[in-house]
Amino acid sequence: MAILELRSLGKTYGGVNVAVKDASVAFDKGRVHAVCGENGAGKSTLLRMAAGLVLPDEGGVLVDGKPLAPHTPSGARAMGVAMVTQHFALAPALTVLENIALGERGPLDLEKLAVRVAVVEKRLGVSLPLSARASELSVGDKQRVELCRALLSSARVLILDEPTAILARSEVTVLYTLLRKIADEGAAVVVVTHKLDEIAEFCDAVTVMRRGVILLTSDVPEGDRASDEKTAFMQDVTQRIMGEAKDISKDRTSPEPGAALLSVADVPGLRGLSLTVHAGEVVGVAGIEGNGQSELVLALFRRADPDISFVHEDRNLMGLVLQATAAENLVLGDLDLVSRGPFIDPALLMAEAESRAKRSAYTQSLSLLASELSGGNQQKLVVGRALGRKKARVFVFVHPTRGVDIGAAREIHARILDVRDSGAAVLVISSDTDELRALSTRLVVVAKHAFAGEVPPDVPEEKLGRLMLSGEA
Amino acid sequence: MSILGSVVPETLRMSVPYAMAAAGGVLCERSGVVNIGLEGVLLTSSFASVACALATHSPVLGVVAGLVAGGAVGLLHGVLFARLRVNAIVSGVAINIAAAGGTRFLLRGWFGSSSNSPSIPALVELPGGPFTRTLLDPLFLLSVVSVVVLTLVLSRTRFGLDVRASGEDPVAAHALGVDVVRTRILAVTLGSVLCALGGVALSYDQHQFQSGMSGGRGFIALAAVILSRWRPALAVVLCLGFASLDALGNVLQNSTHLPPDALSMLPFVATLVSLFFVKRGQLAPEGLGKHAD
Amino acid sequence: MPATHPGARVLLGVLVACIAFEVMVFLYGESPREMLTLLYEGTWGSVLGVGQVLYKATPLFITALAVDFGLRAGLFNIGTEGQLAIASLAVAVAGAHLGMMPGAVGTVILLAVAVVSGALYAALPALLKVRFGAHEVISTIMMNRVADGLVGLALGAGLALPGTVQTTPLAPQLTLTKLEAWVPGLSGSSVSTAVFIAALVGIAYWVLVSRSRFGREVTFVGWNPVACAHERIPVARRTVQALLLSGAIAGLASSATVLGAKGYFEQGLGAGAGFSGLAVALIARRNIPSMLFVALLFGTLQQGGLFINGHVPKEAMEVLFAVVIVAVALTDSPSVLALLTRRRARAGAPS
Repeated sequence: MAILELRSLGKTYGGVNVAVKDASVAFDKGRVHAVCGENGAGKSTLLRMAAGLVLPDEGGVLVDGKPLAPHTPSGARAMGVAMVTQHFALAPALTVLENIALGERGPLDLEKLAVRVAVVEKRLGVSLPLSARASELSVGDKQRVELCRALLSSARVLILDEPTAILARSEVTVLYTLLRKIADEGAAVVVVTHKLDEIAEFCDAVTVMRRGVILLTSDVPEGDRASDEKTAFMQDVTQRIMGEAKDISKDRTSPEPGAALLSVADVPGLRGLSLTVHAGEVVGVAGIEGNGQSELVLALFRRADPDISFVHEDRNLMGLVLQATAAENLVLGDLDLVSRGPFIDPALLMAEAESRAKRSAYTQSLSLLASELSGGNQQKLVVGRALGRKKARVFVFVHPTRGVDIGAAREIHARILDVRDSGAAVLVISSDTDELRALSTRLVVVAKHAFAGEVPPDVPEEKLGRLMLSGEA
Repeated sequence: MSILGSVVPETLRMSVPYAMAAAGGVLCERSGVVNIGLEGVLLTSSFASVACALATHSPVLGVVAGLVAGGAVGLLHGVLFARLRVNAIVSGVAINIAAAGGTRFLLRGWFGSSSNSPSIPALVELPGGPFTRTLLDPLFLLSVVSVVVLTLVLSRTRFGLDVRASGEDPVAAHALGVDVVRTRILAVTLGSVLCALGGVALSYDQHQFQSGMSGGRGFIALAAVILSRWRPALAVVLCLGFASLDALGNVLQNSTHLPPDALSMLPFVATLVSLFFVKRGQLAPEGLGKHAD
Repeated sequence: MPATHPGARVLLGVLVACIAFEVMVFLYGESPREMLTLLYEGTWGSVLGVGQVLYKATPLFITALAVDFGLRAGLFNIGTEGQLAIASLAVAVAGAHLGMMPGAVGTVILLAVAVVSGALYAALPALLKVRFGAHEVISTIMMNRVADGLVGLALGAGLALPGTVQTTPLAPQLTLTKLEAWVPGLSGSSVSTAVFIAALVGIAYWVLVSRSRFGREVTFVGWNPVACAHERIPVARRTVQALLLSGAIAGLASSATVLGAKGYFEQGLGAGAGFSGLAVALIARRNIPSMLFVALLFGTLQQGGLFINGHVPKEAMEVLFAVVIVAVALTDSPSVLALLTRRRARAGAPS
């Protein structure tokens, strides 16, 4: 029986980026329903609309057949829809108990609340540090606080956005056990994930999204993970997620590695990593986010070596000045190259910007503001700038295609291989293992802030997953 | 009388405008709204209380009018920032300009003077020396009570929790169903009422309104808010410190030949010096100046 | 980012100022029409009036540029008031010691003194900002108050002529020529060649922010310091430099008052120009021609205020400034924009 129903939902951001298009799906009581797709497929936006966090441009949200009104988070909570977002809704300076209290209305009585929380804790078999500040909690604890809060408000639809992206494998099992309990008590549980093994192992139904569109909603076949029926089903899901597969490296042979251009050792916060990248090779750094990757990038960035050119991970925060033009963004930080004396030469600027735009196949007008561009074109600006540094012989790409549409991602991948072929050394850091497999000559795996191993790009998924999770193959 | 005997009650008396502006500032900023308009609130409420006291011949109504006027200015600031998303500094600058010009405009228009209003009667006539008179002053007592109540409200009530959540993480608060906009408007309004109590105390202390009589106290109070790391009790203590410099200045001016300009600069110089001890961005409400979506 | 057309902002500002003026005058019990006539006659209605408007607008335009440069770097320099006061004092004192200097050289030296002293007075807030994380709004406001005291102290301690609050007058060749020397109708007006200095500053400022590497980098830093740091633009240094330059430009406003109008400095000369310049910059929002027009609008209101002062206190004009600031700021408000566009959409929809 469907508790939550989404009807023809549509959302466009800034008139450019279509996030979700005509999406309809129903979520049933007592089931754990996965919504999967690549980064930027529109999963989060879809469910944020369901939870009242984002106002849809088109379509409607029905709870028990009644339209969600008012379309606000509190409206949704009042109707029993709660969402645990990727960025936890926990005010860091408040205590756990205060944060739980925020989920409720009415007079504040922390003592009484603590008693009720204890009941839920017992039900779930967890224990929360109620008087600790939220900022002091581990990720797993934060998640459990959110679950507790949702259950206290007797949520009947519980939506979790990528709950396992940041969890260790052992914690993942614990989480799904909790979710199963919650579903068995009569709730509809919706989990956004892009991890296929979780879907196969723990979920009852799956919805696949790509580029804002729902491609498939289906029950997951019952039975053993290894059963033929299940394997076939998962292969189908995989293919739909990937779409026009971005296997661009297949038809390109990598050149023979040349001289060592980049050596890394003794990175603070990343034990045991010793890495050399040669001319003409792409080394991929695989691992779950937050396991030492940022420390590696920081150590490289601090070298202030003009030989090394970066594409940083968050283009809006670290890469672009959104209010400036595309041309200006392409030469940001290199204004000296396009200036005569203290003054910028507009002709030089345009010439340099054009040459850099070509490097990443950016084809929009250079006089558009960066804020007017789609995510893919914005990323091309950042990539073009990095590739256009004439002195650079080493390129470091961090999540080079995150939140980028498939077409732009392919283009960016091709350019990364171009620069490899031209004899540069490339380091790619990504949480997208498919991307890493497609690009890398070899993979370095990090786990728990330590070097976990080096593997070829065609290493079996199982083995790579184990390495990334535990540091043991 | 000993210097101490006059400086201490003088300090307590003079600390009221600072302390109430700071208390109000804490409430505003804990909800995530920067309020540099405190100075304007002080001026507006001072003027409104005097004007009303003179018009009605009722000192009590004067107090009420001062608080209402201050609250109205706060409401305006709250709506401009939280609801209409006007930059809080722009709105604060406008409020300060309007308050400074508006009070002088009305001073001239109503009382025909560009410097001060006629005298108003005292709220109550108190017996005894400077100490007892200061400690028994109803506005002083009301201020002490307000600060205690503010601390309790912030830490113990639903509204206080909503305020802190809106200030710390408006996105999370919004996601959890806190009406961030309403909470902030309410917090800024109430905070400005607190600040207005300081403005009212200022005019009742002088028994009249004087042009520009807030004299930068609202800005110093804002500095105290930041230095206290947004804790009301500590902000009030810091304000006592700034007020003691004022009091010291007054006493020295009567007893020595130090130039008045040097003495009047004291609290501002002290504030600048104290800014060297602010730890970078530490413990500021994280959602200060940010919106829920 | 929804942005209103700069010209529309200025027009709206003028319109709001007119309406608010009429409403205030009416509420005050005077005839709106008579007051508007009086206002017009005292300003744009005569050559002398125009001269005085120009005189009033000159420092506002320059301090607006100063504030604007701070805003570009993401800084609210509320301290132009104090920077201008200190620079004015410094110019007057230096000028009194340059008695023999030939005019042109002397004037250039004095402008340099204005620039340097204005910048130096912005140095402490800049240091507090990048080293100690103290918000420039607080520190610059404090610096304004301290400047008041310092000026009083300095004048009291012997920089003023005995028994007065004004400094020794500059030698005539050091001051800027008053325009009345060329235009007889301007006789009695304080407007001087400082208007040309202001125009030059405006042009130089345009070159700075749109063509120079430094100006563009400061602008980028103001928009996204994190991205700039990742592109190895020295963010802290640019921030300090921006605030210093902002103070320097503010100091230049003393050309209109000390060098142009008076030939000496006295307590309160140029007071309010910093705050009004702040208002101009906030309304004009990065558009230099708008700054010019808004400065003229405010100059008109200030000058006109003197003419209606017998009927309506001139302080009413300050309230108008505030009303205009808020009204124009509202045009950037997403909710107001949404309201406007929704209404337009509804009006355009077939019924």
